[in-house]
Amino acid sequence: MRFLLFGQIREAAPHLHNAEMTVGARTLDEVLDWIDQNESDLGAALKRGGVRYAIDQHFADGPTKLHADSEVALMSPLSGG
Amino acid sequence: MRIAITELAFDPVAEIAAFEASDPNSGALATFVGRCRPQSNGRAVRLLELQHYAGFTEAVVGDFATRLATEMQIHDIAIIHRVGIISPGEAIVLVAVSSDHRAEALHAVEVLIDFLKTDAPFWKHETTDAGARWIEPTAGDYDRRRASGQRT
Repeated sequence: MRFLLFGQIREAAPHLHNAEMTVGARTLDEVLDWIDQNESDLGAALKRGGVRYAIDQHFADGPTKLHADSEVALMSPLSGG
Repeated sequence: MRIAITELAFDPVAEIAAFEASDPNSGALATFVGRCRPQSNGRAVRLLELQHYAGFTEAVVGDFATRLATEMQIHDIAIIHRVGIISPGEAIVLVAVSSDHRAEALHAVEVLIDFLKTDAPFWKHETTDAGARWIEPTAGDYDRRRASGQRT
């Protein structure tokens, strides 16, 4: 799968942004478990309030299913305008 | 409807004039322009950098604006939002809404800008003469979003 990181959380794991990784996860929850085990700084950053997720360009939550070639976006609190 | 995410500076006055000319049958036109402030917390702002999620940001903003237009019987909506490097004084965002009557147009502009502040995929990074920081929504931004959404 390909990771995209936006906003402040990119600073916790800049090497993961736009990176293709083999994670073996079937859901977003499993991706977050993988991050906790392998990218502790990013795992801590994701536990802050307001973080949002998208799978294949759709907002997602923990049970959302994904594929080996899915695009997983990890997004700091959204802040436009 | 026009949703534009652009790295290029734009002229809000010219964009509003073009929007108005495109819908001569509306009875009301309401607009909001957000600019990059020259000062932030008493510090001189050097630049603002906005990230977005290409493709997704356009889709999220477009879907929300389309739903709002249907729910509130809006004639037309234009949203122009800068990304990339923005200098103090430059426009960040323009929201323009046309409708039959002023109440719908004014309210739709408020709902749209409150949505952009908290629910649209943009991220702001500000550099001042005191350093750099990420700007995230405030509790007030979330409160306004809830309040304006409840009135829709």
